[in-house]
Amino acid sequence: MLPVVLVVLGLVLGGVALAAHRITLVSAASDAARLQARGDSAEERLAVLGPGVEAEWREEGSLLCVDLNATPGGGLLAALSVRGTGCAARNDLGGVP
Amino acid sequence: MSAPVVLACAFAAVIVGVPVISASAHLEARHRVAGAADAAALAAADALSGLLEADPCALAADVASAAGTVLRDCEMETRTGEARTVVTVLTPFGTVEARARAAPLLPPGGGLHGAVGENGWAWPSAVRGVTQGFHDGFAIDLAVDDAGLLFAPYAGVVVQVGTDGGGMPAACIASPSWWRGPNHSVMIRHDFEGVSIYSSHNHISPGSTGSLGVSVGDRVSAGQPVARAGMSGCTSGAHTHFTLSTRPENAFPDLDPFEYLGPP
Repeated sequence: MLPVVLVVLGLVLGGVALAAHRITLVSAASDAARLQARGDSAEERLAVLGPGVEAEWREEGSLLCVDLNATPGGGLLAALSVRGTGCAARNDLGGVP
Repeated sequence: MSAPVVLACAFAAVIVGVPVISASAHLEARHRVAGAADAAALAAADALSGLLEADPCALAADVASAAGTVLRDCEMETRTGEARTVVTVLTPFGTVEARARAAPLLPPGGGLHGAVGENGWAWPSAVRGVTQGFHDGFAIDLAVDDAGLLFAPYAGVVVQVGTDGGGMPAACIASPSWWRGPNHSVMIRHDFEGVSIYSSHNHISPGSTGSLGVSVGDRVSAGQPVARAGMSGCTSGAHTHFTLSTRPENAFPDLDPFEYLGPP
């Protein structure tokens, strides 16, 4: 019985951790895209996320987008990846860092 | 730990965990749609101000779409440069909506705008007064404040900015110390009651029109800042020489400006 309970608890806590991490990434991706697309550096904003978060920048026409990928934790969660995407209109000063 | 207690713990974890995860998903959607609304409003405002070459609302729609959301509403205020957006996203728990607005920190001219009368004409200076009445035809010298902002008297299209090509006038030949170099002016064509009328501000500060974001070919509104008073041309002191004419010239105007602007 106990293993089943532990699995249930693990799934619930893992789900909460994933959801929280996704909120963080979505919010950071929006901010980073806006900053970088308008000529400011997104480096400081992304540094807050700590290590383990990979940023992939791409240009889509007149837009600059960033995908933030992260692994939210160890153990079984290490097999999962969470992603947040943000896009903003790029001016003459903005571009892929 | 007995089996009922263990089961109760598991049940409690599910009862608490599922709503928390659902709420987190909803919160994530709110963050996503809020970020998209902000980015869409910024994009539209940048396009409206000319920083980006695109249709403001079409660009805002592209930005919203790239974030997996939908631009539901997009409004522009051309006078202030403000853009307002409403962005939505559909979630399993309903539609999430976010609103955002963006505008230049200070619109061109610092937000000042000449008051526009019922006939659509605006007194073309921040101070409603003249320092000299009719001279050289129907030309008048406008009183100005320290900032020296000069406004478009009526909606129109800017047809000339910079030096007017005129040489040194007789007054400066007689008094050479009044000569400050070529006269800089801004001339606007107004289509009023089926007739083209030309207004001009003269002796303006060189480069002031461009610094206000106005150049030849631009459409301007009544009361929009188009120049700052200066001392270019032939002048004994800082002032602005205003003309209204049926001809695209700034010398010897043939229209009485008070008939359009009202009395000072």
